[in-house]
Amino acid sequence: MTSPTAVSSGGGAHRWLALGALVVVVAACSGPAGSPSAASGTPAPASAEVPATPAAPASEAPSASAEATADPGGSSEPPAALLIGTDAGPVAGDLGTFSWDGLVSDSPWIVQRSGNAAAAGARLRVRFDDSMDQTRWTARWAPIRRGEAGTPRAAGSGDEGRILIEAPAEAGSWSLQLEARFGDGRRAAWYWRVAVDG
Amino acid sequence: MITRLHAFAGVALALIIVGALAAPAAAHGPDPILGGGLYAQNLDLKYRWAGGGTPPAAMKSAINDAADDSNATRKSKAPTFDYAASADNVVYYGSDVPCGVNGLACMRRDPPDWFGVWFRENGHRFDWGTLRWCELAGGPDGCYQVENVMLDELGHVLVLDHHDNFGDDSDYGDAVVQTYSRTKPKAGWNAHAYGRCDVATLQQQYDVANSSTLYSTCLDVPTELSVSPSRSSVVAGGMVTFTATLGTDGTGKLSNNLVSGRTVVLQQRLSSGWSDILTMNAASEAGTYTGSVSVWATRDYRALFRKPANEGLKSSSSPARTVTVTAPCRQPCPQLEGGSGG
Repeated sequence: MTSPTAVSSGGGAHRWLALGALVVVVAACSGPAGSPSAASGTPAPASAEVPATPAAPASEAPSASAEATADPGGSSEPPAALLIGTDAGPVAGDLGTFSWDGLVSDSPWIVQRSGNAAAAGARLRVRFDDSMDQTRWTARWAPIRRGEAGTPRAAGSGDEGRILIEAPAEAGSWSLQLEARFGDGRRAAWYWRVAVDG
Repeated sequence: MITRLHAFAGVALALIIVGALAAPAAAHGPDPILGGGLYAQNLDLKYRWAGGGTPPAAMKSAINDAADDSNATRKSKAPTFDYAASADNVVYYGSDVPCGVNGLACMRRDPPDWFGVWFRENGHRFDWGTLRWCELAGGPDGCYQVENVMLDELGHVLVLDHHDNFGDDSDYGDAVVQTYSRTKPKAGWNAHAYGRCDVATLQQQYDVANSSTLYSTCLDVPTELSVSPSRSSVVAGGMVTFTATLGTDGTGKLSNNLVSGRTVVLQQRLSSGWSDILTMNAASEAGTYTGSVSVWATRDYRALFRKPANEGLKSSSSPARTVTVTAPCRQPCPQLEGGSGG
């Protein structure tokens, strides 16, 4: 009926292997277990659960940690998205909310402190790194008011192929949100700040 | 004349095409689902605080409140959540989170074995601003509420992916499980109940809680209605009891569910068409409704369920059943048959 019993019933071999790997990794680490790794490139799931491991009694069998360190898909985060057509060449968007290989991350509508410029009505394009092709995309513009995104409005949508977005006709500061799906339940959102010239 | 008709048809066609192109691109409906499968219906999922990543007291309280919110508003057989120090599922708070560079919180699930939820630490500095959790920062404008965000995470744990909104976000209140979290005091920042499109997916995936549970208005589930008379022939004025059964005719978990506590009417066919006679009473058996009428003339009868305004069920009517009067009325017969429920 309850999850604790369920944990011991499934995927035991895999779990023990993963747990063993975790123990090796922890043993290899010389820094304090509870402090964040200085290397920001450390695989996030592992670093998030490492602090839990030393504090947990052996009987608690942090299989949870083992699960968290497993990286079944290899790529644990969405690709970079580049906005093309502003005055600054390709600009990487800020990654927002995503669902990717079992990890779901929640972010706000990100409004950067600074951005790039584009002419009113300019034709912009977005492409992804890692040769990834989306299966579906949706774009929205939101006016930026006092540093926050206002009410958004649709700026286009499509399936495979080029992602083409028209800059707003009105001059001002705008936030662009692009949501894209890639199949296998992978989806993510990116944000750019664009100053539209009148 | 023919030319004018052609011109009119052309204009009408053009209007239809323009209308179709102008329709919002984003679909609105039940939340999408995450991969990885489901937990068992009504499972009680326990969670504990991660060692080395224990939330502050105010945050613990908000997280437990969110678990209560989820339990109270799931309106389905989705699992419930409860804190237990011995649990295998973990909730972590701190700086070491796997949430990506801009995540406030994140979740990983592996049904039926395990889930984890991570909250980034209060005061974390992103490139675009500083994270303030309302429960830890005194509730200033611009803060994110832990209880609301945890409810979003628990929705993910159950199976919900982010809701697809209209372009202008006018449907933001239809879901807590959103593509972006809102800060105080924007509408939705402190929602403590699943939205109707969150509930719709929970009902599709886990089934409604019981036969009386209202179906989410984010759904449009077909229903099926049958009716049978206690007698198919009577002497004029004889009493006949009709028993109707209302069920769902949807897909997956929403197929063949009995539906109780709704309004089902009994109708008779007159020369002018179908006319209500009475509202049938709920019987003791789930999904069953009864009503009795005195039958004075041979007539067709049927049961009718009208689409309610407060839930996502479609209308349905039963096939007609004929009750034959075998001996005619010897006294002045009433113009319309009377009847009574139950």
